Amino acid sequence: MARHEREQPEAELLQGTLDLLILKVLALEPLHGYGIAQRLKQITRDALQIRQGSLYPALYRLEKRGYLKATWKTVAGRDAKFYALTKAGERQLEHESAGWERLSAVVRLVLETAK
Amino acid sequence: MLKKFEKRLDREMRFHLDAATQAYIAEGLPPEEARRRALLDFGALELAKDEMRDLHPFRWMEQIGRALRYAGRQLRKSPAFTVTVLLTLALCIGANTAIFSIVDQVFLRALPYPDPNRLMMLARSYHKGNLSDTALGQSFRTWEPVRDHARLVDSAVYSGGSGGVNLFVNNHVEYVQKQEVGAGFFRVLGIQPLIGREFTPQEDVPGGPPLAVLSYGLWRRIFNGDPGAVGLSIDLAGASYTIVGIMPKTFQTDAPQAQIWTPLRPSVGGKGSGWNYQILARLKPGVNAAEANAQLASISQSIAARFHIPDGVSIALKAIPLQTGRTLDVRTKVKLMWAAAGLVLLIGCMNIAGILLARSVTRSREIATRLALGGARRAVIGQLLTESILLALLGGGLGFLLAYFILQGMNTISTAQFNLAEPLQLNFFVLLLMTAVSLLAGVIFGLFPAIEVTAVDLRSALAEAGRGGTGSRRQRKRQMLVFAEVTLGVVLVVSAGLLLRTLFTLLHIDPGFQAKNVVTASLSLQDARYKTTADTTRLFRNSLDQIHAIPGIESAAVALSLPYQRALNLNIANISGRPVARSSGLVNFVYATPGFFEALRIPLLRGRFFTDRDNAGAPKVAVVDQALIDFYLPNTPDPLGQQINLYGGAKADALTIVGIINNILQQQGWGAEEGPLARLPQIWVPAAQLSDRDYQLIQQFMSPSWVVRTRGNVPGLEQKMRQAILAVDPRLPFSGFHTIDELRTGAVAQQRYHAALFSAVAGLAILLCMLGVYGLIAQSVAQRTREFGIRLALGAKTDNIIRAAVLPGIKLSVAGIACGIVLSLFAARLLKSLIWGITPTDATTFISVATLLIIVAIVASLIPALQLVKLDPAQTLRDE
Repeated sequence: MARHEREQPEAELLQGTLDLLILKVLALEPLHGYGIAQRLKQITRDALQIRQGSLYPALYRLEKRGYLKATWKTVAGRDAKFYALTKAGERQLEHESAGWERLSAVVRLVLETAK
Repeated sequence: MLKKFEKRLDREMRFHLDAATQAYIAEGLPPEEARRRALLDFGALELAKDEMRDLHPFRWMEQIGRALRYAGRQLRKSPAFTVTVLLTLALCIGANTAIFSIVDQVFLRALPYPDPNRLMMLARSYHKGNLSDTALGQSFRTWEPVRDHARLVDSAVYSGGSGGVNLFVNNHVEYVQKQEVGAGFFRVLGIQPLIGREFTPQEDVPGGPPLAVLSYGLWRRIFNGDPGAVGLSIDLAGASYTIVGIMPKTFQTDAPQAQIWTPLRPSVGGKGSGWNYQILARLKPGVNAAEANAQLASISQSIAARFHIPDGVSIALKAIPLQTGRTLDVRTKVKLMWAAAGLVLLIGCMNIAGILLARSVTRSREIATRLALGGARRAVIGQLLTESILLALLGGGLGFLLAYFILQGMNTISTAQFNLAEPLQLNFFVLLLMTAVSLLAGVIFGLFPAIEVTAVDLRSALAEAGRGGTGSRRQRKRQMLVFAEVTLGVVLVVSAGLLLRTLFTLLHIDPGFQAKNVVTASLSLQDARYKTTADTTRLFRNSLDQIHAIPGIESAAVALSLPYQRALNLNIANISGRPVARSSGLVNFVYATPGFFEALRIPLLRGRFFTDRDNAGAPKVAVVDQALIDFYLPNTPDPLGQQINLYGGAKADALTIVGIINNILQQQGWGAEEGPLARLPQIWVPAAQLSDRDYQLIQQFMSPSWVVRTRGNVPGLEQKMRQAILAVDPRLPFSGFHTIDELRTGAVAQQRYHAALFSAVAGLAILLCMLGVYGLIAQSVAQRTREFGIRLALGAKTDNIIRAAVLPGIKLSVAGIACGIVLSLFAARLLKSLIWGITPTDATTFISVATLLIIVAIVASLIPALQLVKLDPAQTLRDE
């Protein structure tokens, strides 16, 4: 009670996952934020509840880290910000996918062994 | 930058929401509902925006701006707190900035010569066991071997100070300061004349041609900047000098007033026989100070043989940086003042920390609320720190303003005290450094309470903060701060007390004569027309006749030096044939005309004063003071008739003691142990019995004074005296008129300066301690109002309640004072060189300081406690 902690380890994990998903989606084609949200919804078939608002901070973070590059384009007469994967982004995607594969393999292994 | 960022952020969000709304509309929802769903899907819009803003590179600027605005609002909300802190800071930073400006000039600022780090000054350094002493004065006998053998340095000899002379040129008369410098002086400093040249070694010899180098200012004033001035003649002190060079505009030596430089003409006699020279040296390229000193050490061996120095003492020439040399005798004083100023800043910081701590108690509910609502501890600390830093910067700014005025006020006196080359002023470096100090102070006094307050127990803080019942631990910390403040405060007040006692002791010593109704005026006789005893005494006699004729004049006389002034020091070789040890043979030597003792009303103890019959042809006589008898002839039954031989020459030159007078106060001329004013062994001889040679030597660096005793006030006396002198010699102006009181003030100017400066700092310390104790008691009274109310309601007497409220403050102060007194016993030793006439453990000072501070503590505690008199118990309890 005395101290007030804010760090929550679960949030960290979730965030990493969201980053991976965004990179994966953008690996196919450049998209704007709304497009990414729609695509994620499609791919995960609504299984993953992502507040669309929390998508944007992740996009900005990835852009700042140099994994994404943004350009403004006009869609149906309106300005939209399109995000595309950079070379560094591609590498990061590979790197994270591999890490994720390993992690899920380990988790699966643990679950099966524990059965 | 940020605006553009915001716009794009908005545009992107709007696109998303519009697209999502369109999608819902396409699914068949009404526009209103579609919009609502889109917003719902999006989640907290502002939260997302905020998170993205955090990622912007210039985000911190905006955050700081917001924190500053918030901090400003908080400070405006509690003006009493803000004003107290700002004033404390302004005073502390102001005092420190002013003192640091002096420190900067004395220790740090480079001298205005090329490559100043290679400029040195040669010092004589004496060693005996682990005692050592450094002196800067040199004589011909130390200069000669340096000139001939010190090959690793480029050196020049010169005379340290300047002396006033009368300058006549183009019908223009002016009293200017002249400095004597040897050949190569300007070259060693690294400054070439703007026009012309400096003296050559061939010219700078005894009997060499009379040449002069002029300052830029003098040249502009007298010759309107005409380059043709070089080669012209000017009349200096009655002799003709040829101008050979003009120095550049900004050129200055260590005698900042000097406007004319003439050749020193070093010789083994005259000035060169005493320690009247200084030696300047520049390290030659590729030579470092250690190498130069090694060479000087080998030269020193031959020097030691030339001087009579006591057994066990070694003497060596040493090169010290010119900067150090120029400020040698003020360095300790400046350091002590700096320490005092630093101490007061520390007290100020502790005070502010205490106030912030107290404030944090009243704010703990606000802070607990912020923490409970999810504010990060770091952010809350950051906010509190921002407030402290804002205070520090504002206070520092006010302090700079104050320092500007302090420097304005103490400029002239400080420049003279510390022999500064340039007037004191705030410079960029000083301000930069002091800004850093303010900021550091802000962080230190702000961080400590901030960490304290954010480590609160939320539940109890929220429950109790409103009543202010929390924080007994914090109260203890504040007590510690006040205790430390009082302790350090005592040290400062004791220091100031010791210096004040020194000053008062000096001012109240019986001078040994009657000072009232005496006016003095001095006159430079460094003039080619006064080279003989006959000419000089004729001037004395005729001018005194003129002065005696002024109505209202009771008596008048001339003497080489006056009480409260520094006298000429000579050695006694023997007294009636008994040799005097060289180390103790010093006496003050004064020539005087008959009537001098009568004019000052100095009591005659035995024998007689001078008369007109003690003239050049008569046997040589002397009047001495009791101090001389006590020191040199303690067991002689009849000192009258004893013969003092100054130079150890022929017996006919010995002075027969004809009179013994009361001791009179003189400024000390040798040895620090005598104090600034002392009763020194002294000899007076009739002016008529000096030799021509004596006059020629003495007039070079000392000016005799005319002493006049009046019957009451004589209107226009100065003008009448001027006229009297001009009637005798139209080319001799008096340089200045002084009463004896002014001479005394001049003699203790340094002590007055120290006492004033330390008193100001100590006064500040007392004020801060008072604020500290007051704040502590006021806080505890505010917190215990409920308790006191209940006690009153239960029948306690008001004075008991007040005693209970006041006692902790007084107890704490007494403990602080006791601790401070012990600490002062050590600190006072550091001041030893500034204290005179009392011991560093002077009981009067310590007792007075303790009493003063106890009174201060009682007053500071009583003021807030007396509010309890108005306490209405019923009201207090209802407020709960």
